[in-house]
Amino acid sequence: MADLSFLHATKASAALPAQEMEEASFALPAVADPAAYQSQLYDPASATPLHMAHGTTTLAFVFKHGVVVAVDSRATQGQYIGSQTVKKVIEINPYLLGTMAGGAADCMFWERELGRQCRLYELRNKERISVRAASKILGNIVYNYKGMGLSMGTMVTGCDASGFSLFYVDSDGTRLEGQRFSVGSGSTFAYGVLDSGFRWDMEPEEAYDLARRAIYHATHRDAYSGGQVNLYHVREEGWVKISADNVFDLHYGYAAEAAAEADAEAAA
Amino acid sequence: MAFPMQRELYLPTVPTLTVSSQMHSGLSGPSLGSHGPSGPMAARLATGKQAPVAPSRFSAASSSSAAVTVGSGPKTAAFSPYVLNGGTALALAGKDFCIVAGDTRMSAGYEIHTRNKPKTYRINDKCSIAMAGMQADATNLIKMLRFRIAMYERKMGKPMSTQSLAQLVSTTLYRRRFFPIYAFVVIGGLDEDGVGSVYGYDAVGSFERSTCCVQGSGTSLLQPVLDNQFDFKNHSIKPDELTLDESIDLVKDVFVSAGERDIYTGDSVEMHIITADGVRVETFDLKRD
Amino acid sequence: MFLTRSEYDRGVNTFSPEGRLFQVEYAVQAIKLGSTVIGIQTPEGVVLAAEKRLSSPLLEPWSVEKIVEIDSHIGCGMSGLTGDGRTLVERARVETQSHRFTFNEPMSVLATTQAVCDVALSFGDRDAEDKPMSRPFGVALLFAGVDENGPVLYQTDPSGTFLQYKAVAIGAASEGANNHLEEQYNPEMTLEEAIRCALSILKQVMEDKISDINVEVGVVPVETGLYRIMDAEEIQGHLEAL
Repeated sequence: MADLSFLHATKASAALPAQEMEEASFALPAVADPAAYQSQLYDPASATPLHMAHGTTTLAFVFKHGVVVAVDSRATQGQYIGSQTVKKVIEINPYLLGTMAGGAADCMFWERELGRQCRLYELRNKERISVRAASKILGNIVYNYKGMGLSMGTMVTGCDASGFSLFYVDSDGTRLEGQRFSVGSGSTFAYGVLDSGFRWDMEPEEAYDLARRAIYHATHRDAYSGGQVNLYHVREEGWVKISADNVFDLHYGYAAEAAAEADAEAAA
Repeated sequence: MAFPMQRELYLPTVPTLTVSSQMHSGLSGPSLGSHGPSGPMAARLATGKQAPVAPSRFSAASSSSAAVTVGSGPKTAAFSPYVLNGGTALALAGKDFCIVAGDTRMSAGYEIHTRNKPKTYRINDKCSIAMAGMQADATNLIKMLRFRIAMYERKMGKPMSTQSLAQLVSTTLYRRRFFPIYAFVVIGGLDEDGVGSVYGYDAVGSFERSTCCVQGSGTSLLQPVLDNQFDFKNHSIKPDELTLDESIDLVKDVFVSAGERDIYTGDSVEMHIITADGVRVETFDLKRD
Repeated sequence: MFLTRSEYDRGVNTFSPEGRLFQVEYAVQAIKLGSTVIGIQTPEGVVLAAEKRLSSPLLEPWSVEKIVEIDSHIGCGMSGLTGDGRTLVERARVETQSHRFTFNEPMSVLATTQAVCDVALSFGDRDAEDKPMSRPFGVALLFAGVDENGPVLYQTDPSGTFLQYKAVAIGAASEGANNHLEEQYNPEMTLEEAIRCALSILKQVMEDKISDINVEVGVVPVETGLYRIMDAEEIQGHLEAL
């Protein structure tokens, strides 16, 4: 039997109650090597290869007035749209946000677990955890399951004593600090808009508009993204949800704006 | 549709036996012997991030089963634990009621095993669960849930609220993240304020609260209809919300329609009608063809 | 034969012929060496007040901690071996957070207290792997919180017994303090009156002169449902009003 001790590596605390241990242990298929079984499922050389749907566009950037996070809300299952109202910004706690790309359940579960651990950190140390440390916890957890088929491309962002910070963490074990990231199948489109419009000293309203447009353009060109654009702003006192705009309204709003500009130019 | 799984693609596929190929052909009907990636999967190849490559410590033992090639050479009986038993389950939530319903046909491939296996399970006075997918996994899941609900009731001294049950189902499903429970769950109930609430899940526990959710083989037929006729999505003028009686009629209508177009839906429907007075169970017959 | 205590004092889990577990009883005695903690439940909320023994003027007062947060709606006061207390507090914190994780709701104060008491007797010299302690926990805890059932106060002891109280004191001066509580408790008390009552009793039973640095006060008001610990200034305000 394969050595499965690594499955429990993150839960090795002696203080864990019985129920906790029950929660912590994952059932495995009755095959000789469950880890290999998992990777076999996603083996590109297999006759029926499985690939994770990364049908998503998420972005986040740090600027003068904090961090702006914007995401679409579509979940796809092949050509079928499973939901147009997914909350891809995960509210880890009042001052930490995570985003969701890849496996919805993976992101949801592990970012909730991150929230639990951050809360315990806060109770033990009487101070909030840094974004740096929180993202590292998440990175370490998923690294323990590397090769098991977790699919997670997330950004962890928030405000702590050192200011605003933004980290990219994924299920391969990558963890990067950066000023702006976009994750998901529509990320290339979002990056194009974001990079061309980004300035450090934007006013919040400008930043919201830029983020919204970047996601909107991604939903326009990437069939796996769509629904609505959810927008959050992380400030010193914690995050606030700024808006949730249906892509339908944005599209015709932008179209009307462009038409008005064209008219004005023609008149000039 | 190649994968009946909601929102995720964690279905272990093993490229050999007929049972699994029936399962994978899922909603598009049995297509025995078809093993190549279908349309949606091919599309996913283009957009998907590269799957994680197994590190060497995991891959050694996999070589024997991974070496299986379909259609030629020797075949090894691979681990193939799933069967899709078909059927449709749904839940609708109004402002003071909830309806949870599922048809009672259970089949595998083109064989109907029974015409009377309800997919709905009563949890307490406030909520019920319905499940489509694989009957064995669904039965086992409900057994695990009932156990954990009983433990909760002992510990907290109160019945479990719908929102707590929603979270519990999610964590229970995720515990089997690496060996998914092949059941597609929908919960319907009343929340703390007595308002109807519906939670829909994928196989590994991703969930979302909504007002109407369809699971199982009739999903792609019924969900768009209910989006339009129950949620009035994208209507510029929103009609009044449906009353309980109107909603019950709508449920009957959509099941009758699904029975006409989905081979896995039929026979009869068991419906749990949840109001402040408790859960009332009603059944009605569909065609048995 | 078998009449002296010492015969049954060696094993931590050996009953005496009279049916007593001496080590557990001694652990209960250990609490009587601890500093005094008072808890009072009122319709407006629950208050915990603890004495801090500052054995030296060189001691940093903040490092003595007798009242801690378990979850946002539960506070805990401890008396006895504080080190043992911390193990149980950690346990309670993990339980409450795990409950939130699994059920998306706060854990009740009763269930939290029960969860902590579940480990009270998991000691012994065998099966060391699943028994974190080789002896009973020498600590008593007061759990004070607000949940669906309103404000509640529980007391635990080393035997794993827990009881709900309207008002109770643990620690060295518990006997005197409990007498005072019995006289002064009134079910209609406001939270403010309860805080003053607890502080005035502490003032009477403490060996050192009471001040804003040698007491701790934690409250869970029904209004917010949130535990908070008072700062020195607020405590001073209440002490001046006594």
